[in-house]
Amino acid sequence: MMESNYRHMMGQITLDDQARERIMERLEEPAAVKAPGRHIRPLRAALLAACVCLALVGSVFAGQALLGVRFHGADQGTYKMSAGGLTGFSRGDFGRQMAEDIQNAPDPDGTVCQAFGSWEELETYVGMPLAYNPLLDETARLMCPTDENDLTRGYEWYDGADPDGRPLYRYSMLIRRVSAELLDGSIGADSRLDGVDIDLDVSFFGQDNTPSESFPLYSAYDSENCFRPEEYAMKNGCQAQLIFRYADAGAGSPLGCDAYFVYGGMLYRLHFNAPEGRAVAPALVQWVLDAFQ
Amino acid sequence: MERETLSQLFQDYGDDVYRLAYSYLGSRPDAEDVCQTVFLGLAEGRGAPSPGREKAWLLTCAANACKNQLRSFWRRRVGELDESLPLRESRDREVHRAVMALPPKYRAVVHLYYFEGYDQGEIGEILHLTRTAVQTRMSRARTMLKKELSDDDGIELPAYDGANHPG
Repeated sequence: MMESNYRHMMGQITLDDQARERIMERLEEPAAVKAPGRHIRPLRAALLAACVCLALVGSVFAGQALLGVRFHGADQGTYKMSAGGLTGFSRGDFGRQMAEDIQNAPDPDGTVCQAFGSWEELETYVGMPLAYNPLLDETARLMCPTDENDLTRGYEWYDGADPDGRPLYRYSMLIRRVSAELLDGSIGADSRLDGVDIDLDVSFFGQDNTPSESFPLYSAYDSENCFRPEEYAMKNGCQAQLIFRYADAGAGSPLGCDAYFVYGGMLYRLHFNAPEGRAVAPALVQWVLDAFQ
Repeated sequence: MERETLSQLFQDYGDDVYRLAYSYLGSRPDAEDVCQTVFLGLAEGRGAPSPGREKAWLLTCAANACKNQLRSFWRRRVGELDESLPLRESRDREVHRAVMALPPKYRAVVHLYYFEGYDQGEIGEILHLTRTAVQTRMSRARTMLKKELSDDDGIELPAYDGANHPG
């Protein structure tokens, strides 16, 4: 019976001892959760990518427009972010296959995964030019030839509406995921576990070619880390907004960084995340940003 | 909430929260994050369960946290089988593969029905769905699972009769 098979299978899925210990550590020190400036064991990278990097910025920089990305005010630890000034694309603007994939999406939460052999192949699929970064390309080639080296991991789409209720659709594509270190003035590939993870996303907004004045991107809850924004002028002329994440009230080395910039009416996001015990060198962030052509 | 009470809730229901999160997200680390989020939320006083309703309350929190993750713009989705799963029997792996092929919202209903033993009314309360919506999702999930598992020997779907749980 499927029911007994399912029960048997799920019965084996439990918190392992290490995970249980990690959570218990947190629960046994509830005061530490709220205390600012204390180093808290960071959540896993995936969750960091989703929420941590954007949190707290809202309280400090409420309402501040950040080059197409706007962080809204905080409400009991909930922070929101939106993007404006981006180009609205219609399905016809995308490559035929990508348009078909979007059309045939089985579920708004679905993801289509595609792998491409070259940047040109990716651009053909997307149907428009993308900001190219040979440094990330080279780093990916230096890494072990695993699936992680695919030019893209897939994209997701989301149905939504702008604050005025107009329908908007967004497609987010993870173009590149590498792991790298800055080594004496050059960038070096590293193993997935030891190096700084670098994810490059590009997001397209669709609304029948109508520019989006303000599109809600994300809201998050976090009470643990603090963030410090910086601006950076990239060599290709784009202005990047950097959000460095710190564990100790802005002191010490940054644990991560999100870099946003707009290119060709699309929103690009570079997510840098250091493995535990390591830091993200600002020079590495600048090095990667300056490689965009 | 007192630490002892919190610890006891975690000991009693931590795995249940974790399993529901895993069924939603299909990722053990993501499920751990959700589990941590749920119990830390409790520690920080962001809501409290009614006596006797602790498990359902925690599962509701977990479902909400999972939905937030699924909606998140930057979330990574893991399509491939999590190789760290301790599934040694081929039948378990086959069932896992079939269930994980379902959309997350169907997986949650399947889990709460087949594993936790809730009826559709209770599932509706936990997931904030109407009975009809639960019934529809369950029916569609069964159809998809039946198709996925149709070639597998010895794996049959139990009858789903709507309100009454087969267990």
